[in-house]
Amino acid sequence: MPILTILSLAPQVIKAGSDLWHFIQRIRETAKQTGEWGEAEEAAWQAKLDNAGNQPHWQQGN
Amino acid sequence: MKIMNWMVRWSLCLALLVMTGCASVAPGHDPVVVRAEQSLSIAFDTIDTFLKLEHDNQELVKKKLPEVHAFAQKLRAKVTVGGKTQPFGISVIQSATDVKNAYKRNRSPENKANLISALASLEAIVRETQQHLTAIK
Repeated sequence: MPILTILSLAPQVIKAGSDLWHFIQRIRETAKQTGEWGEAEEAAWQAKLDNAGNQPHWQQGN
Repeated sequence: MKIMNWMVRWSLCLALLVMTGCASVAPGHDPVVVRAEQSLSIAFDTIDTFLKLEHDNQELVKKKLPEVHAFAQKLRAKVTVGGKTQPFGISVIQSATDVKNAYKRNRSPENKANLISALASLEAIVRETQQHLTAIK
């Protein structure tokens, strides 16, 4: 059961609260989606895309 | 080495993603749309996390992994599509979102084919993101 092995190893390798930890949490939430987005989810998604470009790590810099 | 450390962790995340199944689609909902929305979310989170990690370690990445930095810069490069100026990575996700919404409004075979094509393009970029992280090991 490799998935259980990986899940049991993950907390030891990935620090809770780190970027990767948050990434895994978001992916796990996404995997739980069973229905199409409604208006609220569509609006939240569009706002996320619109705001992302203003984040420092999305700026090209040098 | 710090970069190697997060490369290993990233690889573990990717393995986790590949092996984690998705929930079944609720009755009355279109699996094509649900899976498209999941793909969009995962693509955004993957690229966003990659850019954050690259940004946080940028001096080291530029010095030791210039091709990874170049790829990150390509994702950040501003492009204008449909009057909207956004980083390339966002623009690709926005385009796929627009195609997905067009399919939601009119579930024609043509719009479905367009959606599948848009998601394939997006997945190619996500795959390239993953390759830049894992090929260096």
